[in-house]
Amino acid sequence: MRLAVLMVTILIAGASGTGCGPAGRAGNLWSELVYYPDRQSTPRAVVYGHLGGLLPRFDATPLLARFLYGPSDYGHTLLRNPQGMALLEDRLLVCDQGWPDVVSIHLPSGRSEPWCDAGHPPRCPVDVEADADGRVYVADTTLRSILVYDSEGRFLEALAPAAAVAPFFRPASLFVRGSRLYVGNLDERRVEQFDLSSRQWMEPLKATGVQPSLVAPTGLCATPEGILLVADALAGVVFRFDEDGRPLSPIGQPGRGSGEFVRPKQVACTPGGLVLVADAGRQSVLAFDAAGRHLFEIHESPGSWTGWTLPMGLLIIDPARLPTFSGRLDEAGLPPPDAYVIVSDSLGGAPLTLLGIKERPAGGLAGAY
Amino acid sequence: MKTVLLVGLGLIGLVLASQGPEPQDQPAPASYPETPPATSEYTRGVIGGKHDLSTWTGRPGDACRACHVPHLQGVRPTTRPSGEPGVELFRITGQRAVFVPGRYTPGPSSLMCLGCHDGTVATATIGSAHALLAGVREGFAVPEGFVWRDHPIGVLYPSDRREFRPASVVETAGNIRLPEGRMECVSCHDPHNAAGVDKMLVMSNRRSALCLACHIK
Repeated sequence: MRLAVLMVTILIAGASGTGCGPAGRAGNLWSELVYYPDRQSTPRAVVYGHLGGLLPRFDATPLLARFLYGPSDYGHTLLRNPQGMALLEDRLLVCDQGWPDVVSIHLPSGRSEPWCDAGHPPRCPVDVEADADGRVYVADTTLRSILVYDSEGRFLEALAPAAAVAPFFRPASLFVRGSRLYVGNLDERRVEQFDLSSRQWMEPLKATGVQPSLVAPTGLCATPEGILLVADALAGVVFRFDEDGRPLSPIGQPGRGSGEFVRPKQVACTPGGLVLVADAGRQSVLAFDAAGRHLFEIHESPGSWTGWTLPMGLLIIDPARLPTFSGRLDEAGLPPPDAYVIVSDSLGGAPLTLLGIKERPAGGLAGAY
Repeated sequence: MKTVLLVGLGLIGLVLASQGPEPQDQPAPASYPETPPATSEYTRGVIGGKHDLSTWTGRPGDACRACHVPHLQGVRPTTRPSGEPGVELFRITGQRAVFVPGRYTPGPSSLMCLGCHDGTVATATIGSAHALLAGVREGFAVPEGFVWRDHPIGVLYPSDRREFRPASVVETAGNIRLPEGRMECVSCHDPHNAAGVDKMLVMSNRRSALCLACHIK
């Protein structure tokens, strides 16, 4: 029966050609092909559904919160208005302005709880990163500092450059690479660099000599080749910097056309080099290849998937880091993707959406669908 | 006296004729003008204000471009009726119809606001007590008699309730807008700040005038 359903899905997908496709259900796993140029080509994306609904059920919403906020079926997690995300061992850390706090979701059990030190909670957490030593950095635009916690959520320090280094500081995005912490500073319209070993603020990155200039660095990540990507929500492009900090030609441009940006809030890059950009204005995630060519856009699929309302955060996860979910895929007869992507939606019906990205041509999703 | 009346009527006719019918089939401009018209009522409040992002980018056209994305922003889509609300101009190709009957969800114009006013680029309204109830998300069914912590957006204006003025009365002055019959950010705030009122309100709230434009107290 399951095989028959999958075969039907293949046939419909093949007949549809490009674009959004039909939803498929396999066991408890909700999945939908949202992009398939054809059944063999790559890359392509699959929407598995609301991450909270795919985790073991654990709802620890306090009774008072339920009383105050009324009946709701949005959550298998504590999440209210999620934004930036990071993975810390088997916990997913999600900045949430609704609390405001960082909500920790234990992926194997589904248990979610406010995570930050109660004595030093963030006031407006917008992005979070974890370094190799388990320290967690939370960008707080109200406190205008980066709150540093240990791996158990205990407060360590508040990090901010001295006035001589950056007179104005509004950290909106974070990214850790090696011993370097990159910080998108909206007030100075540049990317600050902090050396975690020497604890020194270094020369900031500016998009000098390119048009448009850097305005609102709200998203940061790096490609496998070491190119730093900076999503600029107001300039409407993704800036690129080489490893020496030299600006390269940006990806995309502002506009409503294919591959153009309205409010690009966050950027992430898969191990295969696929660049994903969450656009709150387009209510979608756009995909580009390593050269910056637009490939496809993931958005609502009328009649089957309602899409996102205000997509804010992106997190790439290696399939090995989600063994429980990969096991469910295996039980359903679906091959695992090359990478998982979690998209946070600050206002949508599903706070976190789990996507699968297939980017290697060998084997793959196509045969299963 | 009759002559004066005829001349007056003639002048009115000339003015009306010079305005002509509302254009419905304008082609989309090839690109957005770099310098917006400085005397427009929309730009008057924007230039030099908080929403004038050209002061950040150094490009004059960015005063408008940051919200009115190039290519389609200044033209009503030819497929839409000319009487359609202005917020339709913000709707993005591929953007889904966000209104779900009976359920809480912000409208398209509010999503444009929230795209920046999310705590990253500008002050946070998501999850704050200002306009959105913390914890409320799309899909949240608003129970009858629910006590909002602060002013909601994305909800139908309750014209049928006696403690509210009729929507037609509220919108008569032209300051307060109820896009598709709903309370949105632009119902109380004017992002163009045309009136120059503090906090970019659509009208002064002195002695709660803005509140009382809707609420009967």
